Amino acid sequence: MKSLVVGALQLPTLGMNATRLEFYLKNAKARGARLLLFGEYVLNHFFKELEKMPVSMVGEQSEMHIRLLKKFASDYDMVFVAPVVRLKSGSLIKSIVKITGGSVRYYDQKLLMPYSHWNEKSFFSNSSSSALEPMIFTVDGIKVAVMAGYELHFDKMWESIGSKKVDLVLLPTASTFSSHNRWRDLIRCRAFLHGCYILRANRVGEYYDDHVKWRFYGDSMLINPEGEVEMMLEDRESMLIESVERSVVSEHRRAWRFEREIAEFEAPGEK
Amino acid sequence: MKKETFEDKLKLSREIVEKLMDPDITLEESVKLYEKGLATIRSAQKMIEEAKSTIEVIEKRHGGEE
Repeated sequence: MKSLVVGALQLPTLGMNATRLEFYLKNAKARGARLLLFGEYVLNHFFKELEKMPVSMVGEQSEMHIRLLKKFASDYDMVFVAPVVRLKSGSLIKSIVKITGGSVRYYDQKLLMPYSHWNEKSFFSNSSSSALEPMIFTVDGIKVAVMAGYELHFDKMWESIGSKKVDLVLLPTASTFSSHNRWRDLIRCRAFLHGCYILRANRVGEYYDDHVKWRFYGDSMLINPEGEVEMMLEDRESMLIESVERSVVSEHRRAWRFEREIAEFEAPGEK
Repeated sequence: MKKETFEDKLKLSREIVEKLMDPDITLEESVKLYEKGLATIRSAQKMIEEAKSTIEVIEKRHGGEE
């Protein structure tokens, strides 16, 4: 049966210097990893810091990292999935990039946080015209979807996970404050209901805002389709490497039949 | 005061890039350095443009004499 070794890099912002990535990539390669996920605001500074930077600097930071990751993807024969802030016609777009040795593909985040303490919706210039669907692609026969952490909350984003038989959902996050338990529960619940693995990469590091400390707590994890934690990192810079098995996904969907029950209800008599 | 040459500007911009690569640099420092680097590169570019224009004038003058 098909399987894929995947990794989550739990890092703070890399700034302009990404040379320490090579340490992790060598290690990941030695452990057979084919796909690596980065947390939010790792290639770029945290959202609140972006507000203080010239937009051209943000754009150059992203371009520099993408060039470097393209080289690494080719050298290490790996697929990288990383949130990145793009400069497009003078405006900043919050995206997720998928990089292989030969291609670069972007997914622009559809739903952004609109809250007064964290208002990405008003800061970024993402378009709201495209369909609410994650980016879906295949690596070594395993179907993978990626959506931004905030988008996990919306049922609509999950409709294609079952209908397109996605095996693994990648979830880059920048979770902070005291949301550990809520995020663990949400991710486990989504994995079980949609019958897929979920790999979450959460950033680490701190940000001070008017004497309030924003601490990003890590907790990167791989959850299996039964909603169980396969592996979880603590709150320091580190890397998670684990294997996902297509047979586990198939068995869960065969046993629980959630998709089939809905299909039969909506089109009775059709098999 | 000695006028900065193109080579001086190139050297300065390389030093700035090196400092920007320091993983311990603060965001405030990196923004200041980035802006200084951008200004240095722009003024070096201006020097290249001016030199190009001078060469074009000389070439035209020589072309006219032929």
